Amino acid sequence: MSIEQSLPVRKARRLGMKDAGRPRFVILLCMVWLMLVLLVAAGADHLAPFSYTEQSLLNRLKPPAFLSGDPKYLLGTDGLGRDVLSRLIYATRMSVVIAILGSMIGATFGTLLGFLAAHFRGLIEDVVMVFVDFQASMPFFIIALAVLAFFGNNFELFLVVVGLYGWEVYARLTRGLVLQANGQGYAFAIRTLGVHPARIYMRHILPNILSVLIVQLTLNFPELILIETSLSFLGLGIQPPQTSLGLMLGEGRNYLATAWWTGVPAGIVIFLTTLSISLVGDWLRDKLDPTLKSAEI
Amino acid sequence: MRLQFILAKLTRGCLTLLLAVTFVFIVLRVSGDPVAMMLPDDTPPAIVAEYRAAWGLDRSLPEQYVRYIWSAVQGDLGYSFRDDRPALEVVLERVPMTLLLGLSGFAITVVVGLVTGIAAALKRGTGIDHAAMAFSIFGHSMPNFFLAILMILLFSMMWRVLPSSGGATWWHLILPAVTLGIINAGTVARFTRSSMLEVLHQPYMRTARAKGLKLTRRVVAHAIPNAAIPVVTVLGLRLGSLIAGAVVVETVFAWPGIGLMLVNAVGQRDLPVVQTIVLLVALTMVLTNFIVDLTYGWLDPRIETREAKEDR
Repeated sequence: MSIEQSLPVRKARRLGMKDAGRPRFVILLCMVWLMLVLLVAAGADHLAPFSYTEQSLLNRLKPPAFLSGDPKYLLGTDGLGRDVLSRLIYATRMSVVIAILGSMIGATFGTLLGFLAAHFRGLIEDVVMVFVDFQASMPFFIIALAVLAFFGNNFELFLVVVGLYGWEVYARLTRGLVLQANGQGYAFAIRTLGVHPARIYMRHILPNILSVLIVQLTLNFPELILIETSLSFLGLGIQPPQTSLGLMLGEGRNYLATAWWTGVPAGIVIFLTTLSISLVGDWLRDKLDPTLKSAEI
Repeated sequence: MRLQFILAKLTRGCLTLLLAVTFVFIVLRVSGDPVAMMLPDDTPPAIVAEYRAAWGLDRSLPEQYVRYIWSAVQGDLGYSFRDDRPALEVVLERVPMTLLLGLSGFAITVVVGLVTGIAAALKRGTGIDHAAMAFSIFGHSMPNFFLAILMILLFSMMWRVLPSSGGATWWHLILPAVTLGIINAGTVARFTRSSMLEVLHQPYMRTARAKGLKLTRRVVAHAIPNAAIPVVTVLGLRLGSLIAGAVVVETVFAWPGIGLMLVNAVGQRDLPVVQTIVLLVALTMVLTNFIVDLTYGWLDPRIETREAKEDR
């Protein structure tokens, strides 16, 4: 792109970003919601009025308290007489834990491969980039389904499979950024001092590229929640008696006609959480790096 | 130059396909002995050995690998454990239904996404723009399975105007297609808007205006073609999410397509069907990416030259 072009383009982007800026109270509301979700996830054992597996067959499919149900069950009960609110709290914890651990897995793995590709170049770089291309051109969801089909389902495998979502983006980003950083004065200066490459990458280059990776994390996180909840919703992720937001909604599907409250609350929590992360992420992106375009996903 | 561009893209596509086949082969071999899975536990060792020989499992791994690729190329992907017919045949039967759903959903994505995005860019900062961007964020954050359930609750349970499951009539197509289309339309709208905004500030747009061209002509003849490239990319990229979405949407609406079949096959561990679908998806993705790449070259010939330079 020529220089004459880039000025008006930048201007347009700046204008575009100004429009994209959401009212501050919306961001605040989103942050409050995310805090609430984290608190609920952390304090699930203390907050839940009942155990999430406690059945009470006499109290099956009781409507929520606000629909003239039993005030003991604020959000009603499900098909086995389990308290929906308690299950919602535990399901939130499960989904949040998987999303956080999963993000760490994907970010670490992808970033590491990116560093390796940029450091060794040559064959290693080619191999990494071929896999990056492959992953980018195959829908992750299908790969995850295939792996779960072939290996059967257990929690650790599911966590790793979900966690690997998006590794290729980290790898590509890191490789590009490290190649760029390696050509800059500070990296050269440290290298001439004879510092070990690992130390250069960890102590000097990583902090410089971290903001871009954090931005990627905020983009990746809601998508990871969607992957986990989709798989669990289809019955191919988290297995009963464990529960996750997707699984709850999936189980509630069978009661849509008679007891919508068994599943819909879980859907609302997923939606509000991914929405909040997207909005806060956008806002954070503008704060962290004003040169990044907020409009591009 | 042109031929070189096409050949480079073609090689990359074949490499991706080879990796997909390899991936399935490795996963199949690592995940367990297919003979042990098929036969009952108390089968005499002699019969097990016979089966292994018949399936070529007694040969060396590289030999198995080559044979596997060769049979995959010929379309021989094993027999479905469930109904004892060739897996490819079982899967191909469902293709028309998935294509119908996918293309309808894609058409909704394109129309809704482009119209919303262009309207938002032209009316920047107004209520239309805000509404369009709210819709975009909604589509991006809304899980497709939750939207599907809300659709069923509203249209099938409360208002009772549309059927919620099956694929018997055209009426059955509406809810799944709209669900699939709306989810992706949000992202497309957002991209169309930012791409249009960039173009609208270009000097040639000012020139067009100075020439006295009408707004519709400026937008249709000057802005849209130039804003199209990022949008085509996004549409191509959305195919993966369209396929993943189709899996979920077909399952919720019991639409008898490949997605529903995949979920069932995974649940029943019908591995030949799973591998067939994975390879078909890979083939579809590679072909689409190839078409998208060619479309670029056609929309903006400079891309070919630029890539050729970067490769050197």
